[in-house]
Amino acid sequence: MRASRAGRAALRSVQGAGLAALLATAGANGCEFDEQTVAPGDARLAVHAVLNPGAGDQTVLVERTLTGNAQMDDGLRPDPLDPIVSRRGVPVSGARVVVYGPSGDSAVAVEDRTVRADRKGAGVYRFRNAATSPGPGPFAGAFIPILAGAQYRLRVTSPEGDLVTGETTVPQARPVVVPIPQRNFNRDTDSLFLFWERVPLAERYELRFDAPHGAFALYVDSLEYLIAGGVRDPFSEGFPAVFVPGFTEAVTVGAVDRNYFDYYRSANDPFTGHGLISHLDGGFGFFGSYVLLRAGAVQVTATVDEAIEGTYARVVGPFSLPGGLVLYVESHSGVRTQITGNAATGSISQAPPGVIGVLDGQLQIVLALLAGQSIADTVAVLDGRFDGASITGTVRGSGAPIEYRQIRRAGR
Amino acid sequence: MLVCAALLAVGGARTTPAQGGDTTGTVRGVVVSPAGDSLAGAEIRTNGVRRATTDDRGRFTARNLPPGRITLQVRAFGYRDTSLPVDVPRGGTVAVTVRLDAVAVVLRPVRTVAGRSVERERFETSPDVGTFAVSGSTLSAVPGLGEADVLRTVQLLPGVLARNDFDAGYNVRGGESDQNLILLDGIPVYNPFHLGGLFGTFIDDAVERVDLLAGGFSAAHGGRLSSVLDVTSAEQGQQGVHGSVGVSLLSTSLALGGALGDGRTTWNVAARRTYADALARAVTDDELPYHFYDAQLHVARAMGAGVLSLTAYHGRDLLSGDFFSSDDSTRVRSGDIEFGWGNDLAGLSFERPIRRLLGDSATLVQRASVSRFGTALDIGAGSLVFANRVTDVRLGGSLTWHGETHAPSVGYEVARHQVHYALSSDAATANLFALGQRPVAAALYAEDVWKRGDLVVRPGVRVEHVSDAAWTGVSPRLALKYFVTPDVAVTAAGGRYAQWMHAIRNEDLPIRIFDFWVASDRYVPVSTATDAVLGTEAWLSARRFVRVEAFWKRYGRLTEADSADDPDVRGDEFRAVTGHSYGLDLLLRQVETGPLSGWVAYSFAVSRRTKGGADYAPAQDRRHNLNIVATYRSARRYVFGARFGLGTGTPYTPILSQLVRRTYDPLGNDWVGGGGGDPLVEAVGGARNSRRYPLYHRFDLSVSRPFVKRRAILTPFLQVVNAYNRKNVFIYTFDYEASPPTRESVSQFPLLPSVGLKVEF
Repeated sequence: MRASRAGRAALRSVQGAGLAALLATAGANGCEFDEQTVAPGDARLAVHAVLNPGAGDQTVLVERTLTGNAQMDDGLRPDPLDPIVSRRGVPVSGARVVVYGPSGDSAVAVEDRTVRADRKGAGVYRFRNAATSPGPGPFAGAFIPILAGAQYRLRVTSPEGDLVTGETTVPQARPVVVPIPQRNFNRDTDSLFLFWERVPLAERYELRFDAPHGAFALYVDSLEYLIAGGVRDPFSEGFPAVFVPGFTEAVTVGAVDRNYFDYYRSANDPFTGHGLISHLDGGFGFFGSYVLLRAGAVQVTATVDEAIEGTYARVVGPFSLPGGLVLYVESHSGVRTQITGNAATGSISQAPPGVIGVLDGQLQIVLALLAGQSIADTVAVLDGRFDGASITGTVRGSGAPIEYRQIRRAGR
Repeated sequence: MLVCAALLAVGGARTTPAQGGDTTGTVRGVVVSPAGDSLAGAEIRTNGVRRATTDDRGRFTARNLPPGRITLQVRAFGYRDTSLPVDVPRGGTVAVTVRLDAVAVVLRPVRTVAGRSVERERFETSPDVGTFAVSGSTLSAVPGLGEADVLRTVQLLPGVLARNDFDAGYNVRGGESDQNLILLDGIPVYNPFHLGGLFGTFIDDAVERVDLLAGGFSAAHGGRLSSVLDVTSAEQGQQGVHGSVGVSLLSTSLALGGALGDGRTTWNVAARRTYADALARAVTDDELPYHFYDAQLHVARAMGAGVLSLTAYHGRDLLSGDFFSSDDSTRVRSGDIEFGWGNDLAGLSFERPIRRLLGDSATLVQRASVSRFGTALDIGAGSLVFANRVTDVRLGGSLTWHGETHAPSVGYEVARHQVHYALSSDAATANLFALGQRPVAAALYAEDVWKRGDLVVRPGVRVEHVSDAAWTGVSPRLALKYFVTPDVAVTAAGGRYAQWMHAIRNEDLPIRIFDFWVASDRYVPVSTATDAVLGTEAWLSARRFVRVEAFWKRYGRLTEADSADDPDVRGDEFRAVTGHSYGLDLLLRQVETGPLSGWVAYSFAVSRRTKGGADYAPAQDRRHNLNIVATYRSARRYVFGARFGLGTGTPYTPILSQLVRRTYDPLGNDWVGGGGGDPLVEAVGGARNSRRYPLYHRFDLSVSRPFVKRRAILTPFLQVVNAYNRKNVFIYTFDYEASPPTRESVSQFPLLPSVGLKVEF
């Protein structure tokens, strides 16, 4: 069994992390100097496009590399309808984006911004998969069947005349998703076993785990995989845990083509700006294919053996706060303890939103209540103290008092 | 003025049994200062006839002496002439230790009692080019970060380039940093660095001398393309136990040594450990997760006419803990990391003179050694485990005849390399990459040093075979020296070199986090280089010379990791690189026999590389490099050291923009779902190494003074690195998310004063 983000790519990541740590130290020690304005950079087209035969809409993101010419708005929340603008990008509007099919048919993708009333979707070019969608809807002329085993070409022409082209071959799998049963997953004792059918033309199989810090993906060439609950993501800053107790994490298995695999297994070295594998001509990014094979979620728990861990009920505090909390110890770092968990919202259709926090040596605790399963969406912060049975404190900002009382140890 | 009574110590003069038929005897010994330091260049005479000169370890051997009582006359610059009676056994050897008493240097020291320096000896006898010898005393006087560092001193030699302050690695005459053969008493050392290259691995107190061969080296050396750094262990010739304890801001060290009862066995052991982690633990709640330690042992015993030596080294860097413990609460992170690397060496050598072999005296040398370097990195308790281990087991030997006009030698070297390289994830139950190699490299060589009149010629040839690569190569070597006058010589040298052990690293990265090694096999080619050197050396006085050498070098089949290799394909992990270097080195040196010593080294070098049709300057392509190193030992026993370095900028790849990488979410069929976190923003580079950093310069100072307290010598020292706090650029960081975009510089060493104390006894 082999897995990738492989070999030296991983080592480059580690080396880069080491050097970055050194630079962080240098910065902390005042070794940075002479900050000066430089000329705007060299803008290049960046295209991200995935053909997914199981999806009705197909999207092509067209943007430019960052050159310092545009002011970024860091305050925007991630918006799936506006992925470039809301995620620090410079969209390219007015581009001509054409996808050519195996039999000479083609689709001219339509920029979302031009058809949406809210004008969202700058740089997001969309077309319909005629194989799954009954009709083009607002995307007249922008539909083409995305078929397993077929080869497609992409041609993107910017308003300035820059041209990016690429090719992809869709893995030959029926877009039928086998569910992964949802279950409690004790990351201290459990391992997750995944298996799937062989897919012709698949370069690799992507195993993806949607952890709170971001997706952790592995690319394997086998048809089964066993992953331990304690695994950490060595490719992300800080090597965070993949399975975080208290959170509900989506798990998917998909077949990907070579472009997809190469793009995500490689990275530009932070100091030379080279190393990324892009099979596009004329720009950065990738034009790849993905077929979803399995999907599901795991509700991550952990073995309970510390006083702070357990289920808490709100006895004092605004009703806008969750009525209960479930807290676990994620890890210890010296005298600090990382806390994770979830908040009871009463909803049975949605996974309880996550909670993260820190307990220090003096039993002061800070808890961030999240909107969902991502650390990017904090909705409230509680500052308090843990006295062995309760967490008492205030809501940051409003100063409203709160008290959560432990009603039982978690998992019991 | 210090004028002490002459002290003569004859240490346990013991004789070895007579050997049949011999009518003469031999005196072997060591000449030391009152502090026990070995004295190089001391003359040994009998009846006014010079019989020997001590080497850098203070050792001498005077042969063919008449049996019976003779008077040995010993003289060395800066010390009182001494005579002592010695009973020379017929057909045997007597061992002596001679301690000279220091005198103040006021009597025209330059011209009265000077013995030949090691450099002068080399000049008169060897056709070597690009050589430089540094004694242990010079090493200790060169200002450094916290304490003397052998490799950082090497960086100051002509033809040698240090990429930046943070890297103890070095590049020689345009070569890559893994092309330097580093030997400790003949044992190869694979990664002689601590703390990611910030400090060298050799313990200053355990080093007697360092010799650098920057090119045109003899057929006796192989396996690397650019240079040979030969580090010789110190030997303590005094009876009893002597040594030193040192404390610097960086580490604590202990060195002990002495000669055993009969004076025929000497031993030295030194150990060092950084202590900042222990200090942090004692005075704060925080953990400093790093320390290193090392230890070095050297034992030599005279056995008959020969000497058996044992050298061993053990060193470890240990980095463990939780790097991210102090982060904010909005990140779920606490990655444990365990990172350890280090060298283990052990080697035996036996050197024996043979009185008559085919009509001439000869020297037989036999070596056996094991050298191992290992790196283990465990991120997240098994989430990603990297392991690299290279083991080098080798046998080697040589036989050299010492004729009147010819000194031919033959030798062999057989090395078995074991390379283990693996990347795995226990938690993800995956073997990401694994490589095991066991090549055998064998070499035979022959050469001759032929002296005829004013000409010294050293032709040689080395035949090498690397099993896994199925490669056999013939490497001719030639060096010659013509004496225009007794003090001026013209030199020329050239040769072909091969390298089959390669460090995988991105040479463009400005610092070595770690190296890992692979061997040549059917997929990884044996790298080759050819060089030619032409120069002249002129001695301006008994202790001052100037040398100019021009060099040209061509590289073939260098290896560089291929960032776009296909994980399904074995053999595309490396891309072939070719290239060339040329330039000129200028050296003005004042050798270490007077109060003032040091050197001025200027190098001009041009290097180019070609990879995949693209031509570029490698990261070590510094065009102009100047180092001025001076040590002054005053009459009041102060030792002042100074170093000034000046270099033009090295190349770097400019960052021209930044790419926001989008991650596809198959469940939402969108580009922002599936977990949080900011999108990856990656640098986008321009043409490789197409720009250069600004001028580099730095001035370092040191001062020390020994104080005699009872039977100990206390030497406090003060060092100041970057005395005028020059902001030399280490790297640039670019921010194209800002508008307007910015560039920030990260500096190399700031002004760094440090103090320390050394106690010798």
